[in-house]
Amino acid sequence: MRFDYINPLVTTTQEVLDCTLHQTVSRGEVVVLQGDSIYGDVVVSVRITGDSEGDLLLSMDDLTALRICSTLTGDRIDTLTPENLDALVELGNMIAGNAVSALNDLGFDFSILPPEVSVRTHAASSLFKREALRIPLMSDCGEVDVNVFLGAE
Amino acid sequence: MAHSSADTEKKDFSCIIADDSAFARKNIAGVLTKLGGNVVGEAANGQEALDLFGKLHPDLVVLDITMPVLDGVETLRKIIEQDKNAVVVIVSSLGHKEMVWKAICLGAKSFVTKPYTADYAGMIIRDVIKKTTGG
Repeated sequence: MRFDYINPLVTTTQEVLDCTLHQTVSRGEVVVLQGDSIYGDVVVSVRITGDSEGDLLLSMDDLTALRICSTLTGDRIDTLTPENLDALVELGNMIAGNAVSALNDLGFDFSILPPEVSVRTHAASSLFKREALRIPLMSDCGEVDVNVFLGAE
Repeated sequence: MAHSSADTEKKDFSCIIADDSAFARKNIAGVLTKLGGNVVGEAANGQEALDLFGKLHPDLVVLDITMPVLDGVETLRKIIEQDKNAVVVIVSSLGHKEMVWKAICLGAKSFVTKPYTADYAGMIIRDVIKKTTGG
C-alpha cells in the first residue's frame, strides 16, 4: 500500500459515512493488514481499476447492516433482503467512488466497477495475500470496517 | 398552505433515470418528482438507458457513471450522438475534476456528486431545467 494513498482514503471514507448516516462517525485505529482474511456477516466489495488494481471491502455484522439499511432508507428494516442490501451496495459505491476521486484529484488514475454484496462469505482468498488498509468506523449503527487492497501483491 | 421555493418553481418535465442501484434510483426519483418531474422510465445500465432514450425522448436524462454493460460516460456519448440537444445530468460518486470536465465536454448539462442532499440535487436540476426550457 503506497503511503500517499492512505490519507485520502481514510478521510473520504469517514466523510461519506458521516454524510450518508447523518451521524458523527468516529474512526478507530487504522491498521495495515498483511495476509489477514476479511470476514463480516455482510461484505460489500468494489473492484478498483487503473494505476493499480485492488478492492475496497466494507464489512460489518448483521445488526449493523440492518441499522445502516434502516437509516439509509428511512424505513425499519428487520431482514436483509436483496432490496434492502441494495442500500448497502450504494453506500459501498459512494465510499469507493469518493475515495478514488480523491486520489484522482491528486494525479492518480483510478476507476471502480459496480459493487457486489455477499452475506456470510469470506472475501476471496486471493485477497488474503495482499497488504490492506483497514479503517474501522464507528457510528450509532455499529462498526463498519473499510478494507482497502490497493497496490502490488 | 405554505409553498417552498421549489414548489413555486415547479415545471412539468419527463425524465428517465439510469443507475444500477434501485435505492439510488428511488432517491433521485424523489428529488425529480418534487421538482415536477414525471419519471417515465428507469434503467439499471447504460444500454437500457439508451434504449429508453430512443423510445421515450424524455426532457431530462439522469445518468450514473459506474454501471454495468455500458457505463455512464459511453451512454452520455451515445445519447448526444443521437440528439445533440439532449439534456443530461450526471449523478455519480466519481466526482473528480477530470470526470466532471469529461462529462461536461461530452455534453452533460451538469454534474451532481453522490452523496448529495435532496436540496442540493434539486437546486442543480431545477437550474438545468430552467435554462434548457427557457423558463
